[in-house]
Amino acid sequence: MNYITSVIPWVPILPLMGAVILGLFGKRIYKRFGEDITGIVGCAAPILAAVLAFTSFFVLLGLDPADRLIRIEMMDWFSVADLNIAWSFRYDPLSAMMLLIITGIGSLIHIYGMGYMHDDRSFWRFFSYMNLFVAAMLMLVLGDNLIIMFLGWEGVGLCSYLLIGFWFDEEANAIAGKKAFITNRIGDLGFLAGIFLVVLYSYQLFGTVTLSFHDLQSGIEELSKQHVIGFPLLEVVGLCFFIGAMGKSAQIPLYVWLPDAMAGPTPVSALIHAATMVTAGVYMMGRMYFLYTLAPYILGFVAVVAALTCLISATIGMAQFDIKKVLAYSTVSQLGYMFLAMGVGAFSAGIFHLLTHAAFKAALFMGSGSVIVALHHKQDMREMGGLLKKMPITGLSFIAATMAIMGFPLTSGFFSKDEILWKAFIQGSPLLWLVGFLTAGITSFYMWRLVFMTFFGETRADKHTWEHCEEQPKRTVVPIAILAVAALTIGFLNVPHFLGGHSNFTGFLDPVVHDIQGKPMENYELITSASAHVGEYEDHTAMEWGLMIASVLWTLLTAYIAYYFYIKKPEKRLALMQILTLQWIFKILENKYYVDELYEAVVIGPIRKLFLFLGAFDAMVVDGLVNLAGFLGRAVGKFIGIFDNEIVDGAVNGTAWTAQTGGKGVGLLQSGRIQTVIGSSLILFLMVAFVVIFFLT
Amino acid sequence: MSHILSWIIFIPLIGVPFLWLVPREKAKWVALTAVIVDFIVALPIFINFDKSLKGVTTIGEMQFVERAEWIPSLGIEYYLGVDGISISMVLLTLIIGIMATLASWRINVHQRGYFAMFLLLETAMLGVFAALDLILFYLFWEVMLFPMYFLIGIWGGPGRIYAAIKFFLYTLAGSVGMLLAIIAIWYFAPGGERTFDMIELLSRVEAGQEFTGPPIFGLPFTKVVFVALFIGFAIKVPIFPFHTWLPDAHVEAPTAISVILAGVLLKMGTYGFLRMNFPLFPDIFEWFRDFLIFLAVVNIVYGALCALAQSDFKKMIAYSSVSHMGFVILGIGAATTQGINGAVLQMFNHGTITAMLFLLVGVVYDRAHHRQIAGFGGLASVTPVYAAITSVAFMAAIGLPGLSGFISEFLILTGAFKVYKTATIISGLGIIFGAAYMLWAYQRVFFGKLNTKYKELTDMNFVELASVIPLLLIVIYLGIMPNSIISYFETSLNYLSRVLGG
Repeated sequence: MNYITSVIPWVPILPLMGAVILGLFGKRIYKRFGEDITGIVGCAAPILAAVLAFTSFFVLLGLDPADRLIRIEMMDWFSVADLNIAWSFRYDPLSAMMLLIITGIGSLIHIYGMGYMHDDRSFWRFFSYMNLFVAAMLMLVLGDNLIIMFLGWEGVGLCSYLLIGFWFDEEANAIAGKKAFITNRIGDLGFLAGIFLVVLYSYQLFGTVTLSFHDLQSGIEELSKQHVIGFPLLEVVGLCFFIGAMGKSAQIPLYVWLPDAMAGPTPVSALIHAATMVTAGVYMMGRMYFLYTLAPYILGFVAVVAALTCLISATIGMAQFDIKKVLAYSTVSQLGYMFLAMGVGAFSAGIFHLLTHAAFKAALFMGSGSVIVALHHKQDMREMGGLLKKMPITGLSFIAATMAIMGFPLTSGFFSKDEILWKAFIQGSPLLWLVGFLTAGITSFYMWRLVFMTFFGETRADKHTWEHCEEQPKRTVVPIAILAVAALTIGFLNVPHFLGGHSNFTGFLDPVVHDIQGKPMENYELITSASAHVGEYEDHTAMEWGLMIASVLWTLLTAYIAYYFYIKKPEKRLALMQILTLQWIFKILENKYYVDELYEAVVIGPIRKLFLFLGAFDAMVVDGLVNLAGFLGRAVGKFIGIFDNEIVDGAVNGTAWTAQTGGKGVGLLQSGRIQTVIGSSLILFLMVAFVVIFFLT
Repeated sequence: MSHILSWIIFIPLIGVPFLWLVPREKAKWVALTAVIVDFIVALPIFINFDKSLKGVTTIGEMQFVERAEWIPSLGIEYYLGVDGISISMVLLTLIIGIMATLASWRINVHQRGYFAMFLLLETAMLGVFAALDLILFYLFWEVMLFPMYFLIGIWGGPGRIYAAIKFFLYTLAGSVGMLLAIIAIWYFAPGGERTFDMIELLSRVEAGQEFTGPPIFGLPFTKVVFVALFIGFAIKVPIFPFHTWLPDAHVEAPTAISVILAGVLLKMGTYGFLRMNFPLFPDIFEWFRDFLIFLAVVNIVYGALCALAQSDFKKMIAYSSVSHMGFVILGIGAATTQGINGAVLQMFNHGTITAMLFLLVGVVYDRAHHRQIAGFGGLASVTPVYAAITSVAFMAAIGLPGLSGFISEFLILTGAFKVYKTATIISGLGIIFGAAYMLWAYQRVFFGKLNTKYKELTDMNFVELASVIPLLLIVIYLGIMPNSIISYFETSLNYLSRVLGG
């Protein structure tokens, strides 16, 4: 316990220090000591943090489950009247698990990055940003209150922006970074609105506001009775936070930034845009499960959005040729699965999928990165093929991870995805299950399509590339292999009861994240009606088996279809693609349903027109009026001057004098001599005043 | 040290004669010495300041008070003192003063005149924040105009004459109304007994005494006076539609003067609101509030959209100031404790952040001699230090948590949300647009293919770094420990929030 309190603050501080050191001195270190030392400095902080995170985790396991919530308060952050925000962390099973993912996978990806970024002239900058990212992400998950979570939330967004645009010489990369940041900002406004609502109502109810999850949870019943413009408060707050999650975790309609984010270096895609940052929304919902439990309508909404995201992005994934784009859409789709679980109240299932996905998707991305480097930065799968022979470790690891993502029996994805589908069926609706089920097959299809196009068949690369293509060095492939092993095995952490397991992972999370039992809506009525009648436990074993077998067969079938069309009978595929309707569909999918174009036409275009109009309006109309007033003033002055000249004889001299002085004034101004005239007279005046004040009164 | 506030105010001025005792090229050292000495001399007031005294409307709770008769026949006094609101502004002025002096390092014509004006400006600004007598306040307020006029008009860019005259006339137009309002307040002082003593007036209003003035043009006396004062201050802030002098003045002003303008001068408007305009007329404020919030939202959103439309780097930042000052108005208008504390914190933070932005624009302008955003490109690869520092400054302006701007915007928005939900959410759009114009500008200047014209561009030099780094550190420090400045004004502002009925 003491160990944890003293060690946990260092977990985010170490990478932060790493980032600062590399940011300030990285260039010098790089020039003086070369790439390897710089890389080691870059990897040191995440690895040390990982050591601390893992040891703390085992200490935590040694504690009684009821004591596994440790709050570490360090100091005040800001406080005004009834609002008191502290720098405080919270270490519990949920954040402990996230810490393991972030520091563990983070360290592996840092090591991998040493290989991937080899010979990059901004080698040091890469590690500085990556360290900063790790620090921000750790803040996000460790934060004990909404504001620290938001700090991390924005911090990871910043790092994502910096790393997407890492190769900023390409305008397109910089634009992708900007798109990511601004899309995220839209979500962040939702997140902020949620915070404002919480502040407002907890202020009214409790007097003081700390925004800590602890206080939020203990006051949640009071809050649940409130209404804002006629809607239950928690539903509105839940929606606001979910809008934030839509941005960060790339759900419809704010998912558009994630595929573009692949412009960044591949380790970035693996760490930020697959394993950690994009799952922040899922983590956030898990962290505030108590709020969402009391907001069943929003949970329903989340489930629907998630199911749609899941299906739509998977269909896009079938028609992409860029290897990273396929994986990007796959990530969006898998995030949809996680939110589907959250939406039906199976929080632990969503978080478990977060864990398994982190492993297999990071492995997939790193594998693709290995391929990309081997092929001299070619990403188009139409120029790949047959790589398994050349790159056995990468290839086998990739295939292992693919088996995990398709849900091949006993791999990690099998356990986590099946759990989600089951919960969607039993706690959501058969329709939600059906969408998830269909997507599982599509996922299996596009992943195997990717594998076959990349690693099997004949190479389509040009001769030169093919000859120079070889397996990557150890620092690149070993981390991939480690993650691939993890992707195959970690599913056993949460073997469900009907397969003879004990749902250990769910039990581990239980002290801090309770799943909803039964449908969210019924559960809600149960809680609110206070008639504590818990439904009879029904034995669903047969049905669970049935659904599981169905989905296994279905994914195997689609995998076979991929095999059939891409390896066995490619000519059939070509024949099939002759059908005009299919060509059409493929075209729409390849162009991602034209959503970017739609946004451009409906949102960005009009805003651009608006600000150009307002810019002109400001210069012409608002400022025009000012100038008009000035002009009128001058005209009146002139008129009076003429009037004077003509009518008032004696004033002629006066006007002349005014004009002359005025002219002189401007002349003086231009020549600069005016300083000695007016300036010194003013100064003199003030000097006198000064003397009078100090010495004569 | 007795008379410490007077010393703080007049030390820059004492430096002026010395400008003529050294060679012209060394004048800047005299100025730098003066502002640094001033800062050091001022340290005791920040250390000895009693944070538990609220000041604002309470007689006897102003600190470091100096009082002397000045024009007894009219009851005008030399009356200085600070409370939580003003002391933070004094601190800001002192800091910005030093940084702006460093930013003046490259002035190479009429250095003595320049620094004389500069130091005079510094004195006037400090005077405004410490004056407690209405006439003294007005005097400092007007004295500020002269050096500003010359500094823009002589050392400015190509369109300097137009910009200087526009600035001068515009501000003067505002202050005429202000002067009339001050006279009216004096003449029809609540309780009958005439006085220019701000605190006395405020405490009388608080005690329920009413202004004795007759209706003006058929409108209630207080409303007219309130509006006259409001317009005077609003021009300074600037509040839409009185903001158009700002982009012109900024574009033409030399870097250091832009820094002062954005860093300190704009805050005088909102300071005026808090010091006298609103607490003197709390009832009218209540009547005016909704409209004020409307103006705030317009400032935030309209300013941000206009910033998006700009092609001139400096103009863009000028419009971003309009947007960010809108947040200050929003916080004051909401008048809740968080809103109003956030507003003053935002005044401070905007002062440091925008000062930094203008310093940074100055760096590239000094080298490229133009400020067209689209005329650069890829600078990050030739000037990495400059690019890195600018990115932090931009992130601070965007309101990234961990940097100071976030705390103040967050406080303002939470504070305002308690009273005006819709307006707050619309203002939130300003945050999104804010990210858009900042990042878009950053991308066009620093990212993309390097514009070969600037292949030889040199990175920031020592003086430039010296002028930016301290501000950078302040911005980071206040992002992590904002309480160290909030504690100065919290007592005062919590009280003011009550006075204003927040």
